[in-house]
Parts: sequence; C-alpha cells; structure tokens
Amino acid sequence: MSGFTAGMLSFAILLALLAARVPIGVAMLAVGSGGFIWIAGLLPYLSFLKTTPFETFASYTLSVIPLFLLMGNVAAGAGLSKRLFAGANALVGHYRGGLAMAAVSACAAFGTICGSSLATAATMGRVALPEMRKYGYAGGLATGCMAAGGTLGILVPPSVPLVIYAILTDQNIAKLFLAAFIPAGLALAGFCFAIRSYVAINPEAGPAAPKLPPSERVAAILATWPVVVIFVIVFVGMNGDFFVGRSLFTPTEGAALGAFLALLAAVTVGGMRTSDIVLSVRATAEQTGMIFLILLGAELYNAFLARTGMPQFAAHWVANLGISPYLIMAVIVLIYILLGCLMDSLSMLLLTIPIFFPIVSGLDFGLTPEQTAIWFGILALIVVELGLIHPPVGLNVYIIHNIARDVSMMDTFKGVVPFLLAEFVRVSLIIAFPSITLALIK
Amino acid sequence: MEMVNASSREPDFLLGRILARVCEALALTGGFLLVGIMLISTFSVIGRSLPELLGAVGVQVPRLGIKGDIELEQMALAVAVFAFLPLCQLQRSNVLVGFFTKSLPVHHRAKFDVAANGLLLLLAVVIAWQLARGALDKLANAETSMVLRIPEWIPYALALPSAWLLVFVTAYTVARSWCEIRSGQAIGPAAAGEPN
Repeated sequence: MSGFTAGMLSFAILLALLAARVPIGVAMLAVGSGGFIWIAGLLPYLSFLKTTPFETFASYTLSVIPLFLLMGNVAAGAGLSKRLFAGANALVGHYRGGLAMAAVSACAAFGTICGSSLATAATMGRVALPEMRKYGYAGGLATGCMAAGGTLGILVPPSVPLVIYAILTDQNIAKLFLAAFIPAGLALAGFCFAIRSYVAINPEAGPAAPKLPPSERVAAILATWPVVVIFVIVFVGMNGDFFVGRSLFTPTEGAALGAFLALLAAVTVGGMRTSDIVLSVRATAEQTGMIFLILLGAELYNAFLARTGMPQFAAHWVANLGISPYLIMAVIVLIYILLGCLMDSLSMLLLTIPIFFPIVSGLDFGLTPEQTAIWFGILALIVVELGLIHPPVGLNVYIIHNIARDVSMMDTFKGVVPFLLAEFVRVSLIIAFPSITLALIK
Repeated sequence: MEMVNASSREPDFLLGRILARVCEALALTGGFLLVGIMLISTFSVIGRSLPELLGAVGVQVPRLGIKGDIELEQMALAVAVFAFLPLCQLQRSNVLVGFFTKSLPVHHRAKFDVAANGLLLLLAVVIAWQLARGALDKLANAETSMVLRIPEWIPYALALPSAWLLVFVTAYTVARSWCEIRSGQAIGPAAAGEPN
C-alpha cells in the first residue's frame, strides 16, 4: 500500500469512527496510533508515547489556550456583560431594532475579552434576551440575533480557534488577531444591516426602546471601562510590533495578563464571589481537557499523516488541476459549510487544516505565503463558525433556545436566516478581496 | 425542528458520583495550577514592562522576573492538563459527532458508546503505562530541566495519578454504557451538545 493510499484510507476510517460517536480526540488518537504502528512498528510507537503526551501538553505556546479560556470564563461570570449591553443600549437602543443592534454590538465587545462563541452567546443572551422580550421584540429576531451575535465572540480577538489555527500552521498569533479585526467589524455591520432590514419589513418585530436622558447615556457608556482597559492592554501588548514598533508581550503573557485583569475586574467592580471563581476555573478545566485531548490526537494523527505524504500529494494534485484558485477556495468553503452540519468548529479545524492548508499554500493568489496563510485562517474561522448557527447542529441556537424557552427552535432557526444571508455576503467579500483581511498586516 | 423530547436520564450510579467528586477535586487542583501559571506569567510581564514604563519618565526601578518561569509554566500545564482529562471523560464532555446516532434509541446508541469508551480505555492504558516508563527513564538518566535543574521525572510522576485515574474512569464509563444497553435508560450526564 502506498503512503497516499494509506493516508486516504486513514482519513476514511477516521470519518467512519466520527460518524459512530467516537469522540474526535479519541478517534484521531486511535487512527494515528494504528498508522504509526503500521509505519514504524509497535515498539517505536510505545517509546514514542513515553514522552509525547506529556511533552505535547507541556507547551508554552499551547498555554495561551487555557489562559484565554480562563479569561473568558471569568469575564462571563463577572457581570461585565450587563455593563456592555447597557452601554451599547445607551448608544442605539432608542432606534427601531436598536435593542437587537445593541445586543450584537455588546456581543462583539464581549468578544474582546472572551475567545469562545458559546460563552458569548450564553452570557449576552442571559442579559439581552429578557430586555428585548420586555420591549416586545419578536421571538425570532431576539433569539436569532443572539445566536448570530455569539459568533462574534470567536471572531473578535482573542479567539481560541484562531490560536489553534496559528499553532497548526506555524503562524503568528498576534498577526492573525490583528487580521481578524476588519472582518469582525464587517460582521457587526452586516448583522446591524440585517436587523435594520428585518425591522424595515416587520416594524412591529423590533420596536424602539425609550430614549434615556443624556447624563444616563454617558454614564452607561463610561461604565464599560473595565472591558475597554483590559482589551487595550492585552491587544496593544500582544501587537506591540504594530502599535509601538517592537514586541511587548508574548501571546501567552497577553493571555495571562488578560485573565488576571479580568479576575481583578470581576472581584472589584463585578462583585464576583469565590464560588463563582471556582465555577469558572472548573469550566476552564473541562474545556481545556476536552481541547487538549483533541490536540494530542491531532499530534499523533498528523505525525502519521505527514509521513504518508498524502497532504503534499493532494496539494500537488490540486495545484496542477488548472482550475482557478478562487474556485478551489470556494469549494473548500463549501466543504466547511457541509462539515459544519456535523461537527463543532474546533474539531473541524483540527481535522481539515493539515490537509487543506498545504493545498491552499500551493495555490497562487498573488499573495506572499504569510498573507495567504493569514487570509485563509480568517476565512476558515468565519466559515467554521457558520456551523454554530445553521441547522442541524447550530450549537449557539441550542444555547439560546435553552435561555428563551418561549421561542420555538423553529422560530430561532428562522430568525437566524437574515444573519446567515449577511454572513454569506461577507464570506464572498472576504474571498473576493483578500485585502479586507490583510489591510492591517505589515 | 423541535428539540428531541428529552427522555428522562437516570442519575449516575453511586460509584459514578464518587468518581465525579474525585475527578472534580483533581480538575480543580489542575485549575489552580493554571491560575498559578497565570500569576507567574503576569508577574514576569509586569516585572519587565513596569520598569520600562517608569524608566521612560525618569524613575529607575529594578526589573523583576522569575528565573525559569517558562519551564515552570510548561511543567505545570502538562500536569494540569492530565488532571483535567478524567473529569471530561466522566462528564461526557469530549466532543463527538452526534448527528448520525441522535435519533437512535438509548440501548442502540449505548452500543456505540461502549465501543468508543473501550477504544479510549485501550489508549488510556497504553498512555498511562508509557508515561510511567517515561518517568522511570527520566529518573534513570537523571534528566533535569534547563534552567532550574528540576529533575524531569517529578512532573511526569505528578501526572501519573491522573493518567491512571483516566484509565479507571474510562473503564467505569464502559460499564456505564453497558448498563445503558441492558436497561435502555440513559445514565448520568448527557454528551456535550446533545439534547438527551
């Protein structure tokens, strides 16, 4: 059996195991082990495992993941979400559809201190949904905008999936965060446009909330300062090259400082209790364990896959097809959207990047290799996130549904449609104009 | 698409609930190691940046740092991650693709879970066993870390109890899924992202 056949076969087995309810980390670990033993033999495999699991986990680069998770979990329990919603509401709440726009803006703002979509959807949903329902917002608009807004949690830096992409492809985490900025702004604009269109067609779906007196509005906006301060310190520190011309913190230091400041803000201004802190540590532990098991599986599986030469062969084959690189990109996006019907974003990235990344790197978009890598990373991040809001998996939709039980699942999925349309427009723009993503990258 | 009507889940067995306590305590210990990593890293970044900032306005402060901070963080992270794994397995928080099996009755679905948990059991045994051999190798060769000269077998040994608890917990989850096949009742926590 040639390396290529073995690589393809292993991928087919991996997909079959996934379909049969084997957790993704376990499936990658099992197939990677099988492949390793097939190539190198049982004894070398056993020796390999003496140190590999420990050394995989003992990684300074990877420590950025649990630290950002901790930062997000602390922020979620810290009452900062209420301030952000109140601040955004003071800005736009008095327009028609304004509460919904405030909700998605608050999601984007919360995304600056939280790298997870589910946490953003859940946290902001608990704050914003009752308000929207109080002012008579249609169920579908309220839940749809929260499910969609949740995806901003991942898109706006920091972003855990983007960190994982950076590690898998050996890219600079800070540069990827910087590149995510304009696409995230575009997403927010698209969502607000979707809300405007929704209420233009159904004026009674999103009535305007009463306008607050100016002093209260200013106070509400100023009260968001802890989030602003944390974000500015972490983001400027991590992107020192961009802002002050030399690097200041490593991503791990940025994440650690961010978690520390979030904790500080939570205890001082957020009134967080010790029991809440323990809960956020526990949540971080569970999320980290889940992600690192997949990372270990990916380490083993990718070690095997690289030795079969399958990814390089596939990249070579695709590059010589003579098809427009943009068409190939569109096909990859389509594959992600289909996979998004089955699995979560992290699993998707870890499963596909080792194969897709060499393919994309081999295509000529008229960009430098680094630019291609950054552009593809942002694009992949956006499309894997779409799976969070479209059926059948739509984890964000489930989470929002659990908070707003009075709105049926069907209405929520319907409510998501205008936001999905906005997202498709955005994905097309980002594919067609790589400069949107690359504008801030030097 | 209405959420599948959640069939009632049986609470976990007594052994499962005891294990949950143990796994949770272990995971929290790991979690506080992570908080320790956060503090070390925060201290080193402030100890480095603050003197620079103050220096710019003419105030001289000595730079502070922790010797071997990165090394300590790496060891602590590996020990912490091992401590998180048993809880994930027991609580079914390891993500899986539930799409193809979610409409199956519990006793059919549990057959897949027995196989998947069995597969992990095999892998967990190999990992825990090799980790022990790795620790013995490090001890025999007297390998130490680069900066602080910490014997490397120590963090390996600290990860060992977690690795063997994962083996035990996984064996328990095989049995739990086996009981689900027999009784047709879902037992214990639901899989991540699955309605029931």
